[in-house]
Amino acid sequence: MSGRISRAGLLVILAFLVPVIVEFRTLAALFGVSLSVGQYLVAVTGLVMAVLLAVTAWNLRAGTTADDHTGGA
Amino acid sequence: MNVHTYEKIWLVASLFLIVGFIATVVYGAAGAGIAMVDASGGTVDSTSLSENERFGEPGVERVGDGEYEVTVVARQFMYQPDPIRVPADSRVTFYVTSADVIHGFQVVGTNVNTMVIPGQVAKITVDFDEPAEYGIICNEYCGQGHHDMEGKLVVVPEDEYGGDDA
Amino acid sequence: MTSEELPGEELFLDRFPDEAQVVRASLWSAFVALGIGALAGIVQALHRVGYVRFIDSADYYTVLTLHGVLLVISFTIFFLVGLFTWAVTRSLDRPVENIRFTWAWYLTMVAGTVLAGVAILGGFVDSIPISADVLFTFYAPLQAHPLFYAGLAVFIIGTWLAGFDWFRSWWIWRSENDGRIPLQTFMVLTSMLMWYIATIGVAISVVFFLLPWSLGIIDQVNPLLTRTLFWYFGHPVVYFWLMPAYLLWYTVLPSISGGRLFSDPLARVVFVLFLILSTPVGIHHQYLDPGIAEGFKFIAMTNTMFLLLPSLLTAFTVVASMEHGARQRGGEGYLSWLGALPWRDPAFTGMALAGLMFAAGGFSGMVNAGMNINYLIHNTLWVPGHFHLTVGTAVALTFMAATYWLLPQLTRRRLYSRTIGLFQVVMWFVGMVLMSNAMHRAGLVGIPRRTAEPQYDGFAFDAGLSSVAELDAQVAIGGTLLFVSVVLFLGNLIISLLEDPMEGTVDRSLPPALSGPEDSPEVLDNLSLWVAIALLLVLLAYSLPIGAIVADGGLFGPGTESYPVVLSWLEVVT
Ligand code: HEM
Ligand SMILES: [Cu+2]
Ligand SMILES: [Cu+2]
Repeated sequence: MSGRISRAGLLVILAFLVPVIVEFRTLAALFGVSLSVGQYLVAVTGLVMAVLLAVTAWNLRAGTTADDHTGGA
Repeated sequence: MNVHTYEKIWLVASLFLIVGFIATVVYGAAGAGIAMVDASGGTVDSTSLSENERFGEPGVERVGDGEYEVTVVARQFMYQPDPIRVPADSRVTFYVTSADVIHGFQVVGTNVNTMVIPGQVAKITVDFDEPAEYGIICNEYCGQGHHDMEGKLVVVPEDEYGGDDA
Repeated sequence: MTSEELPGEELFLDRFPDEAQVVRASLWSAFVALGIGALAGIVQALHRVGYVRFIDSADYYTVLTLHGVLLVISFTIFFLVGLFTWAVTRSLDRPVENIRFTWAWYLTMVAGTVLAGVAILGGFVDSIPISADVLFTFYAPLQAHPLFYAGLAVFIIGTWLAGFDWFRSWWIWRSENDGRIPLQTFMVLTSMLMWYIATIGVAISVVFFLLPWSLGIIDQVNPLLTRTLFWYFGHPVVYFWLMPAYLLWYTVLPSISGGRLFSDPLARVVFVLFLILSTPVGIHHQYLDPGIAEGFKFIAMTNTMFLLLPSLLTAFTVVASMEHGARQRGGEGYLSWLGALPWRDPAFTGMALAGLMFAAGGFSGMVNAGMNINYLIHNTLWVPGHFHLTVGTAVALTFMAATYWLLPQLTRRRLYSRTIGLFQVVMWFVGMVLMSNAMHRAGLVGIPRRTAEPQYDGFAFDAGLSSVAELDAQVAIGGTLLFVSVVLFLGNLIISLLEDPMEGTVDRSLPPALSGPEDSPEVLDNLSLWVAIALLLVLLAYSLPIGAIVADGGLFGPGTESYPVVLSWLEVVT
């Protein structure tokens, strides 16, 4: 598998999350879940944390198996 | 010319998509009978609307059983008549023209939407089943007061509908 | 392949110093327009939602005219002429024939912009009897000061001369060289042929109707006719904005992703399709116009749907070329190659994000093109939501990203900060996601575009799942991020120019395509054939509708009087 995710890569991943975060309530409503503002904030914070964790985990794993030659320019 | 296999697949899929889109519009027009604003409203001399047979007196007129015609004049920055009152469970044909510049005529929250061009008559037919109140807005820039240009359409219960010019 | 490659040791600036100067001047003109346009943009965004209203709502339309004209006429087209001059010069590897002529068309365009700009700005000052509060579509009988129409005409003449300059280079190159037209030159020539065909409409409208009418020589015009002539031009101009972005996606993006263009022949096919199909579609902007029969609208709709094809093909080629680049850089797997792309390079990230947003814009465009769903969104905020993704991002963000890449070869300066550059392009993406998403949704619930105060007395909009307040907040935050992004972009550039020149060289050579021009049929380079087909389609799509409009209303009627928003100067002097 490929190498670590660079900070620039992380920035782009976070940018991609923005539309999801912004329309999270709409998305949830499509699945019949109506969220209060508080629940919404908790949910999107959780989402961002989850992505950050996943990236860290990926990098830790990749760090032990591959060298960091593909992360950036 | 050498075209990669994946690219050929993509090309064919794209063409299917395009033909599919055209087909849905054809179905909409022919099958479901969604009428478009077209040239059937004819033209009018916008410089002398007050002498025009139809547009001399903008208003609502009953033309048949459950069928109404509404004549609307749009001008900077209002609609005549305002409000427009029609009964529920009716079929209404709007004839809209402009006394000055280009305006829009959109019944908010519905797909009743047309451009209003001086010299041209926009004709749209709509069925109103339920009583309701709608805002009408001008959605084409028509001058400095454009944002103040609004009207109202009231669909009243059939038994409360008093008559044409109420 | 000498002509496709600029020797790596030599900068464009060193090889073609005079041309580089014209390119720089054109790009700077574009960026001045971008800066002022962005300022107008943030004023509009905050005014509409009602957060900050420091201008009078009547002046909102002056600001909006400025925003539209400066961004989609000046910014895009000045960038285009700069980029095309660079592209023709480097791909033919020869200087322009006469640099004086080149400066002449550039100055003509500047003069046109200044004339129109003065007329628009006059709208802010009540004591000056000059105004052009007609928005960039200038629908009669709203009337602008003659300076506005004259400026527009002069600007367009400038672009015609620029096209002649590039054609002349090619004619002379052709007499001295054999073989296929180099790809970048091919793209420039096809784009310009499309532009010549497209501008006929607006030229007739301005020269025969609007200008004489604003001078008082004729009393009235046929509003449906001038509007139809505008849209005859108004759709292909959309592709004129896009063509330089496509040129960059096809010829530069693959190289900055670390690879090569997938297929040169398909790139040519795409540009030929644009040349043929861009014009006979303009009536799709008039689906809701009375006075045009449904059949004509239907023809425009069908052509429009086929016009999706070249863009879909582009999507494939661009992604395939990026993947090839990533694999060259060691990327593997089904999707993990994405990680191997040079995300730290703002030129790459900017173009990639621009391409992605273009795909989103394509989807909302398909809705616009659907003749019947169009009723739901016509003239609502959905429409600006759509084109801020296309021209406002696919084009604008690609131009900004490309500037990062072009900077060293045009100025011998390194970009002051790549990190700021990266933040800038990502910020544009995030800002546009917010603003455009909210605009699309606002449009679906009927909130109109081109309106200073979309808050009405008699009723309120029902925003369904969310609320109008929430959509307003998204527009305001998004608009602010976009504005800050433009400031960062311009600031980064200006500081770069203050730095010391670099020593040595930068390798900016563009590798040839994986599948080269020799794989494509010769007929693709037969430009006269494509022009003939394009003209034929235009005749088929337009002769009957225009005939009917003139037959119904006459060339100069059935209009009304003129509506100058303030008095025109003629009325003042007489
Ligand atoms: C700072 C970034 C920008 C902001 C905040 C912004 C904001 C806006 C807003 C709020 C409107 C809608 C106004 C209305 O309909 O009432 C608008 C319209 C428009 N924008 Fe932008 N915009 C930005 C950048 C751009 C760019 C880069 C382009 C094109 C290259 C562009 C092209 C247009 C056009 C053509 C219109 C329509 C004008 C009209 O209806 O006559 N904008 N913009
Ligand atoms: Cu209006
Ligand atoms: Cu179009």
